[in-house]
Order: sequence, then structure tokens, then C-alpha cells
Amino acid sequence: MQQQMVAPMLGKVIQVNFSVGDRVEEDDEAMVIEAMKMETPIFVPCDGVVGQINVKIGDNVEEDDVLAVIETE
Amino acid sequence: MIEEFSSLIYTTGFLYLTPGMIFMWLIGFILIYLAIAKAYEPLLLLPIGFGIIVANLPLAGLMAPDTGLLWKFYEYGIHWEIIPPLIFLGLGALTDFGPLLARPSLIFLGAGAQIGVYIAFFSAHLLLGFSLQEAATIGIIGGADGPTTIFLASKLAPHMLGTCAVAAYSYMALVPIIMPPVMKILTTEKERKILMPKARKVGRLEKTLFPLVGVLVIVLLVPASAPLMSMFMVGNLFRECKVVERLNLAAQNELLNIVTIFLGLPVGATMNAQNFLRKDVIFIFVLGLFAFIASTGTGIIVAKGMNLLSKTKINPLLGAAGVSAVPMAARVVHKMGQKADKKNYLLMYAMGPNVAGVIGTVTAAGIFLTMLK
Amino acid sequence: MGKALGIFVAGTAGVFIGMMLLYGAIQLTAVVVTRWFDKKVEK
Repeated sequence: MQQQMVAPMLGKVIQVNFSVGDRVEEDDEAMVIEAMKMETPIFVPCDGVVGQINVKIGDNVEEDDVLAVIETE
Repeated sequence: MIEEFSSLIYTTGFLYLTPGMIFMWLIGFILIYLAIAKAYEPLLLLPIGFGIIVANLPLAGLMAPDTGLLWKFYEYGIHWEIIPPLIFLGLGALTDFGPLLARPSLIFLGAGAQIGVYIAFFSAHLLLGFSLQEAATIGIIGGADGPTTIFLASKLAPHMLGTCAVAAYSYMALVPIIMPPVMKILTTEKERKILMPKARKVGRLEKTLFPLVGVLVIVLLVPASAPLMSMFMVGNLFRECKVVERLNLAAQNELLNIVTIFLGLPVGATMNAQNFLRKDVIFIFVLGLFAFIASTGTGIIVAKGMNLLSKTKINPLLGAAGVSAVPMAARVVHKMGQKADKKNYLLMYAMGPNVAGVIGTVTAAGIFLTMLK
Repeated sequence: MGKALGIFVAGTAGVFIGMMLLYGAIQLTAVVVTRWFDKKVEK
């Protein structure tokens, strides 16, 4: 089962706190995006293992872009 | 020879210093300190602070009518209504109306915040005896819009221009401190957790038509707002039409930066000891703060009112973003929302009322001008 | 007192009326644009 982690708003990715293969828990701080000179954390949607990361630091993302995919058992 | 020497001494400014002037230098130094050390609106408060200092130097004549350098900046830049509208040209080019167009009902939050302006106006006139024109200028401080405050002051109460501008910019810098308590008192935890429904995507055609539609509507209704509103909208048109990128970028960058320089210096230069060292000034600062607080409050109250009338609830914190300190107020709203629920991302939604508030403040200023000129 | 109150009421009303008109204009534009795009897509 997979769960997508989407961008809740537009901004620029300035921090990525995990890598593919990491075990994560719901509400871990996964990434930080910056918009209007403000940093906003994005949280892991569910427990699982990071299957795929679609962005890197410096990327501009829009609302609903898939940032990462979490594999749940 | 002694005669030459002593007459030379008499040309120096030292002999003509007054305590008032030195006090004004102190004010200037404080503003410069706040700008540099605390990053309080440095783009404005730094030149304003400097303008204050040099305008309070005897014999320098920087504000001497017809001849003074800063007098000329003031006369031809501000009194002739050139600089504030040009600032709005730049601001329009910087502004994205997408979030407002995605959810147009937020426009009423921009209106709601202006009620605070009128409350402050009313209080200033009735409770503290300011004239209608002065009260209007003080009230518009609550609109959290520097150029509009300066524009209105230059037309209705030029002697208060510097003070009102300093108050406006100072409180804008203090928005993260002023607004949260008001927001906490007027909203419940549950209300702050309200998640906003997904915004619809707004197309390029709509965003291009908006400035045209907007300028027609507002300028027909309030012709006195024309200098500011028309420049704001043409700047926005430059941005959205995508075919004048050179003009758009110049408006957002070179133009805006240049006119900001020419705005700050003369504004500060109007603050000489006579204008500033009066008990009125304390009242202006107090009322200005009151105006900010009132506007935050009325914005939130209008939001709550809208919730009573509609099925889809909006997060009432968005009402506070009707105070047009862009984007600071939106940021503060976003942070408060995150505190209530860390998955609540209000920033882009808050930009809707934030930019609507700019239109609201210019409209309110235009109405004041129409009724009080 | 009278004049101040008058300005308060007229001003608040003015701002709200302005916003209502703008709101209407925005909605109208949105409808027109959607219709126009639909027409284009249909063709």
C-alpha cells in the first residue's frame, strides 16, 4: 500500500529530512518548504518506509505536487 | 582677519542648535537603530530616520521652501502625488491576486478590516478632539498601508505626515506582536482549527482581466482613489499579461526601489521639532495602535459573521489578514493556524484577504478624501 | 459629531459596496471566462 505525501501549498523545498528506505512515523517532520519568506514544515502522512522522493532542495513545488511516496505494510 | 574668522563661525550650524533639534536626532537614531538592528521595515524606516536627522540641522536648509533639496523631493514627489502612486505601481506588479480570485468571498474580510479604520477615525475626532482631516489620517494608519497613509496625509493633514508614516511603518513591523493577542481573544481553539477547502485553480485569463475589471469598478465608485488604484492595477496588469516582462520586472524592482528611496527621505524630513514635539504625537501613536488592533478585530468579526451566514465555514483567523500589511499579516495568520493544528496551511488562503485589504484601504482613503477635501 | 458619524457610516458602506461590486465583477468574469473556454474547447 502506498500513500502520497503532497505539498499543502506552493513554495520552495529547503530541507529534506529523510532518504529513500528510511522508516518514518506519522507526523514526523519530513520536509520544510519556504513561501513568502516563511518556513513551513510538512509532515509524514502515515507510518511506513519512504519509497520514493520526487523533489530535492531548491525545487519549486505547487499545491498538490507529490513530494514523496510512503510505502505502508 | 578676525572679522572673517568670526563671521565664518557664525555660518556654522552649531550656534543655532536647539534642544528640540537634538531630540529629533535622537528619534532619527532610534529609527535607524530599529531598522538596522531589529530589521523593522528597514526599507522605509532607515531613510525616514536619516531624513529626520538631516532636516533638523540648522542652516542646512534641506527643507527650505523652493530651495531645499528634501523640500523639492517632498513637493514634487509627494505633494504632487507622484511617488505614492508609483509605489503602488510596483506593489501591483508584486501582487498575486490568485488566492483572492480563487475564493472571492474573502474580499469582504478586506472590507471588514477597514471598519477598524473608521472606528479609530471616530474615536480620534470625538474623544481626542482631532479635526476630521487629522482623524482620517490617523484612522488610515489602521489600514497598514504606508503609501496610502502618506498619500492621504499629504492631502488632508501634511503637518502629521511624518508622524503618521512612522507610526504606520512601526506598527507594520510589529504586526507579529500586535495581532496574535487580538486573534486569540476573538477566536476559539476550534475555530482556529478550521481547515480551508481546496482552492480552485485560477486561470491566466481571469488574472489578466481582474486588474481591468477592478480599476473600472473601484475608480467609478470612488474617483478620488484613482491615482493609487489605477497605478496599482496597471502594475498588476503588467504582471499578469505576461507580454511586458521588462516593464513588469522594472516595476517590481528598479522602479519600486528607486521610488522607495525618494519616499522615505522626504517623509522623515517633514518631522522637525515643531511638528513632532507636541502632545498630539503621543495620541497619534496610541490611536494608530488602536486602529491596528481595531482593524484586526473587525476583520475577524466579519469573518465570524460570514460563517454564521454560510454553510462552508472559513477560518476566522483569515479576517486578521484583512489588515493590509502584505505579507506579514498573512504570515502571522498562518503561524496561528499552525499552532492550532499543525496540518493547517493558511498562508495562501490568507493572501486573499491580505491583498483585498490593500484595495479596501485605498477605497477607504478615497472616500475620506472625497468627503473631507 | 454628526459629520463624523456620517463619514463613519458612509465610509463603511462605501467600502462594503465597493467590495460587493468587485465581488460581483470577479464572479461575472469567472463565469464569462469559463463559458468562453468551454466554447473554445467545444469547437
